[in-house]
Amino acid sequence: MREQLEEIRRRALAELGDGAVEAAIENVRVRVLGRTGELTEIMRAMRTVPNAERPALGRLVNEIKSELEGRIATLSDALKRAAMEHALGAAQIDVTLPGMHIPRGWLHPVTLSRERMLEIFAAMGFEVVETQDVEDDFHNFGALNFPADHPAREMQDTFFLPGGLLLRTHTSNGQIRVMEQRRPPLAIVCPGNCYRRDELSVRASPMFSQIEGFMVDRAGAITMGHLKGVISEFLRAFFGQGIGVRFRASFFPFTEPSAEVDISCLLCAGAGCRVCKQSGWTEILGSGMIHPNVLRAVGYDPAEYQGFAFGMGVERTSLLKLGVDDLRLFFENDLRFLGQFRSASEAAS
Amino acid sequence: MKLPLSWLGEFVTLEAPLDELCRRLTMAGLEVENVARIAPRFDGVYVAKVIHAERHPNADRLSLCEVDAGEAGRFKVVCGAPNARGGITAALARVGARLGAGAHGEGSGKLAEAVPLQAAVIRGVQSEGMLCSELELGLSKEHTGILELPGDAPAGMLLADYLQMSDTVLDIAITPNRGDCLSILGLAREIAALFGLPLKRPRLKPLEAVAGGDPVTIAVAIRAPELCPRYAALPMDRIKIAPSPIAIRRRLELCGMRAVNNVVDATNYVMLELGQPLHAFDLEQISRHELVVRRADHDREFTTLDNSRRALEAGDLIIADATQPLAIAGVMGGLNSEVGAATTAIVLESAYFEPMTIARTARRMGLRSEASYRFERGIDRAGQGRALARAAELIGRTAGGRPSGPLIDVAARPATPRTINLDLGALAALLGVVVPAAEVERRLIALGATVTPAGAEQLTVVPPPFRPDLNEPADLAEEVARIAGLAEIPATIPARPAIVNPPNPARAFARRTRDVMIGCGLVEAKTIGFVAPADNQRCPGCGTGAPLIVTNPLSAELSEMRQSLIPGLLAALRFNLNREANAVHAFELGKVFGTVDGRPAEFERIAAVSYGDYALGAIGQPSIKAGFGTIKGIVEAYLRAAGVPGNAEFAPAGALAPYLHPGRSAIVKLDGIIAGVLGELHPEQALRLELSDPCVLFELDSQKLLAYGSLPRHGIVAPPKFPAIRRDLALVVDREFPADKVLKAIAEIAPPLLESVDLFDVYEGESIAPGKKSVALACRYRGTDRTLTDEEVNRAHAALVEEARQRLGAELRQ
Repeated sequence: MREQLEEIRRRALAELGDGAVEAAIENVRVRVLGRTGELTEIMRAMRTVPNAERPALGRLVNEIKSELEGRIATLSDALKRAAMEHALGAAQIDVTLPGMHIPRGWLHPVTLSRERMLEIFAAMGFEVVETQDVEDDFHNFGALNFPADHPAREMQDTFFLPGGLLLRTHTSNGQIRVMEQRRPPLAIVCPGNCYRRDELSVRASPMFSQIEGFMVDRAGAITMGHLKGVISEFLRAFFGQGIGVRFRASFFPFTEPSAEVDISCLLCAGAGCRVCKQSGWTEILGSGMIHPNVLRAVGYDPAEYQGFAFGMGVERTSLLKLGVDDLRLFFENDLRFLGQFRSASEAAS
Repeated sequence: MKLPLSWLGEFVTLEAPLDELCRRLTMAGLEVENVARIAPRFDGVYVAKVIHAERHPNADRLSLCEVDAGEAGRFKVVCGAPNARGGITAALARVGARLGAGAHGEGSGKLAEAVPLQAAVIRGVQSEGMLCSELELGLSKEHTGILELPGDAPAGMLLADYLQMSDTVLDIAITPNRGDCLSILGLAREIAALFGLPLKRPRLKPLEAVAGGDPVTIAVAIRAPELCPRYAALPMDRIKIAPSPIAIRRRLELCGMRAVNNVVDATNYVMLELGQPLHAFDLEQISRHELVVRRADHDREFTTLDNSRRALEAGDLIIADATQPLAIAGVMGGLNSEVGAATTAIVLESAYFEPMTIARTARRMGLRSEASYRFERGIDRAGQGRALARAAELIGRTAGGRPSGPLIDVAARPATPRTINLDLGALAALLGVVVPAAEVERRLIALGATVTPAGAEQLTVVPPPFRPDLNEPADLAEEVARIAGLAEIPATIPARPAIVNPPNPARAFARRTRDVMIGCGLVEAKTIGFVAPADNQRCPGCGTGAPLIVTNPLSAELSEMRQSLIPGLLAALRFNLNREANAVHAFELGKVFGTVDGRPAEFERIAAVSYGDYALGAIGQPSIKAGFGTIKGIVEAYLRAAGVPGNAEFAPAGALAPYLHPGRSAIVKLDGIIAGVLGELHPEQALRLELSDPCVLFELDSQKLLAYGSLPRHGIVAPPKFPAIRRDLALVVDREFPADKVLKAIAEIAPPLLESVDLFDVYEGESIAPGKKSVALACRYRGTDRTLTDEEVNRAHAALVEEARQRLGAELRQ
C-alpha cells in the first residue's frame, strides 16, 4: 500500500509540472483528491491494514494530500496571475492621446486690463461707479468747462443723437454725475465706453473705453502733489516698479493746472527708439486739478473744495503693456489673437 | 506751429542746446513734436554784384557779365538770363560749386549727389562760374531769369549764410488755450520766460506821414461791437505787386505757408511773427472807401478767395463795403477784393474778432484758415496797431507801398481789465509745494503779467492782453508750476481715512456673469456698438424700442446703435470661420441701445453665439456639437449661478425673435417677464452667413437677472436624515405638449411626502402611438421624521399618477 501511495504521489506530481494547464490540474484534483479519488479510496481500504502500520500510513496519506493541495494552489495562483498579466497587457492604452476637451473660455485682454486697473484703484481706496454712455451736452461738455463753439471741443469729435443728446466722448461725465449726487470726500473711478468720430484704424476706434478717476476733499487736503503720488503709484503697480513716470504741463478744459503723464518707453526703457520717437517717453494719461468752473457746475464752492482728476484709455494702455501696435486687434475678436490671453485670464480669476 | 530757430533768434538769444530747449518746451506744455534740420541744397554760391553786362561777342542771347563777389574776387561769367544786367545783386556759383538741384534743374535735390561746377568755354568765351536762377538753387520752380537779391545783400557772403539756409525748425503742438503761442514772438516770450532771458521786442518805426496826392480816408463802421470790439484800417498806394524777396518767401515756406505776392506775403509774415492775422483789400474794389463790420443778415452767398461759393448765415460776421460783402471776418477774404497783379492801392485790415463767432462760422463752412485758427483761440487784444505798423513797413520795403491816408482805428468796445488776487497760501495748498513770493512774481512777470504785492502772502496780478486764458488763481497756479516744470512738485500720497467702500452689486454680478461664461467654455468678445440698419432690422433685440440712429454717423454701415449684441457676435463668428476656425463659442457683456418714450436709452445685455464642436470627446469618443441643448444648458447654468432657476420659464419664441429657427427657439421669462431669448439661428440667416452647422445663441437682459439674483437667499438646511424612495412614472402625451407643463402639473398636485420630480426621458417611436410621446419622470418621496414604508409610498404615488393622468388627459405608458 505504501508503494501504491508513492506511485500516486509520483504520478500526480509529474502531472502537476510547472507548465500544467488548468484542465490537467483539475484532472489531478478530481482523480486524486476527489470524493471518489485515489486517496479517498486508500483511506477507505485502511481497515485492511494492520493496526501497527495504520498511523504511519495515515500520516503519509495526509502528507501527500497537503503536498498536492499546496502544489495545486501554487499552480492556480500562477495561472491567475498570468491571466491578469495577459488581461492588463491587452488593456493597455496610449496615454499620450489627448483627453476629453472640457470647454473652458477666457476673458478679453481689455477686460483683463480694465479689471486689473480697477483692482489697483480699489486697493488705493477708490470706489467704482459706472455712469451712462448716452449723455447730454451739459454732462459731457458744458459742466466740464467746454464752452459752446470752443476749439477744445474739436479735440473730441462727437457723435450726436436725437433729442440734443450725444454719445459721451470721455468718461469724464462720471465726475459730473457723481459730484451732482454726492459731497466730498470722494475717491471715485468710472470705467466705461466712450465714442469719438474716428474711423477704426491702427490708432483709433469709434468706440473705446476709458477709466476716469477723481479725488475731491476740502481745499488743501488734496493737492497736485497727491495727484502725482497717486498716479505714479498706480502706474508702477500696473506697469512695474521700475517704470519711469513724468508729468508735463498740458491743457484740458476741465483741469487747471493740467498735466499730461508719460511713462518711460516700455520698448527701449527710456533710451529712445522709433516707437517713442526717440524721446524715451510714451504718453499714457491726462490729469490735473479739477477746474474751479467744474466744481461750480456741480454746486461746489472752489474755495471750500478741491481735488484732482485723471482719465486714461484702457485699450491704449493695454496696447502699450502688451507691446502690440494695432488697436483693431481688440475689436476683431480673432481667436488666434484672443487665444493668447487664456493663461492671463486664468491667472486673473 | 513751426518755429525756425533763425527767426526765433531775432527775439531771444538762446545759448542752451537744442535738446534742452525741446525738453523745456515740452515739459512746459508746448510739446515739440518734430525737429527738422534744414540744410542748403547748394554750396560754393556767393552773393555777387553784377558790375556790368555786355552782349556776348558770339551770341545774341547770351551776355558776358563781370561780377564782384567781394573778398571772393571778381569773375567773368557768361549768362543766358534776360534779366542779367549791371547793378543787380545776384547769386554766383563759382567753379567747384555744387548745386543739388542741378545746373539745369535736372538734379536729385541732394547736395551730396551734385557734380561740382566746371569752368567752361561758352561760344569761345571762358566762363568762371554761373549766375543762378531759383530753380538751380532749389529754392523754387522759377527759371525765367536769375535770382535777384536785395541791393543791400553783402557781396562775397556765402548765399547759404545770407539766406540762413541752414536752419532748424521745431514743430510745436499748441494746445487750444495758447493762441498767444501761435506766433514767433509768442514762442520767443515763452522761451525767454523758461530760460530767464530777456525778450527782444520788435522795434517799429512810426507810420510815415502821408506824402503827396489826395489822402484816402477809409470810413470804418463797426455794427456788431459784441463780435468785433476793434477794427483798424490803413490805406496804402504806389503798390507794385511782385514776388517777395527770397528771404521772406523762405520763412513763409519754413512755417508751412505758400508765398503769393509781396503784399499777401507781408500780411502772412506779420501774422506768423506777431500772431495778428491781417487782411489786404484792393482799395479800388471798395465802394466809397467804406468798411462796415456787420452780420451777414440778408446776404446769403459769398465767393471767397479760393473761388468757392459760400452760403452765409444771418449771424456770420462779415466785412462789407457800401454795397456788398468783401470778406468773411477772420476766416477768408473775397474774390471781389483780392489783391492781384494789377493792384496798386490797398487797405490793410487789423482787427480783433471774438473767438466764438469765428469758430462757429469757420467750422460750419469747414474752412480752417491760418487766420481763423488764430482768431478762434484768441489773439492779442491790444496788438492791432503794432501789427499794422509792421506790415506797412514790410510792404514799403518789398512792394514800394506807402500809407496814402490816416490810420483809422475804431475801438468799439474797450477791453475790460482783469485783475486776479493770488493768495500764496492757497497757491501752495493747490500745488502741494511752496514757491517763494519773489519767484512767483518773477515767473508771472516773465510771462507778461503785471504783478503788485497786496499785503501778506497776497499778489494782485493783471494778466497781459494776449493771455485771455488767465482768469483766476488756478490759471496762475498752472503758469507758476509749468515755468519751473512739474517736477518741482513732490509726489505724495494723500492721507485717507480707513473707509471700506460700499459693495457694488452690479460689478459683482458682471464678474459672476463672466465667470459663468468662461466656465461654460465661452470666450469673451468685444464688438463695436455701431451697426447697419439691416442689423437692427434682423436682430431688433428685446425691449429696446425703436433703433437709436446716430445723427452724424461715420458711414451708413455704422449709422445706428446696436439693439442687440448678436449681430456683432455673428460677425465675429464669420470673421473667425474665414480664418481657419471651425468652432467658435463666444460671449459679450455690454450695452445695447434703443429708445424709450422717444428718448435715447441704453440697456445691459449678455449674449453668446456657439457654433461647431462644443465639447470634443477624447479620441474614439463622440464630440458634442453646439445645439439647442448645449446653449440651453449654458443658459440654465447661468440662471442657477444668477440665483434665479426657480423663477425662469422657457416658452417657444415665435415671432419675438424672427432671426431664430421658429421651432428651435425660446424666450426666457422671469416670473412672467421676458428676460431674453435663446435658440438656433434661422436657416435663412445661417445661409446668409454661409454657415454649414447649426449656430445657437442667446441674449439675456443682465439688468433683470441682477435684480432677481440679488433677492435674499433662502435659509440653509441640514441634509435629510431618512432615505428617499423613488417611483417612476411615464405619461404619454401629445408630441407637441411641452414636457415643462407635465412637470408643472405635478408640482401643482404636490401630494404630501413627494420631495422632487425630475424628467429623465422623453421617448417617441415603437410602442408609442404616432403623434404622441412618453415623458418619463422620477418621483422621490421622503419623510422628514421617519423612513417611509413601501406601502405608504405606493399609496401616495398611485394617487399622484391618477391625478396627473386626469389633469393632463394622458395615458400611462405600459
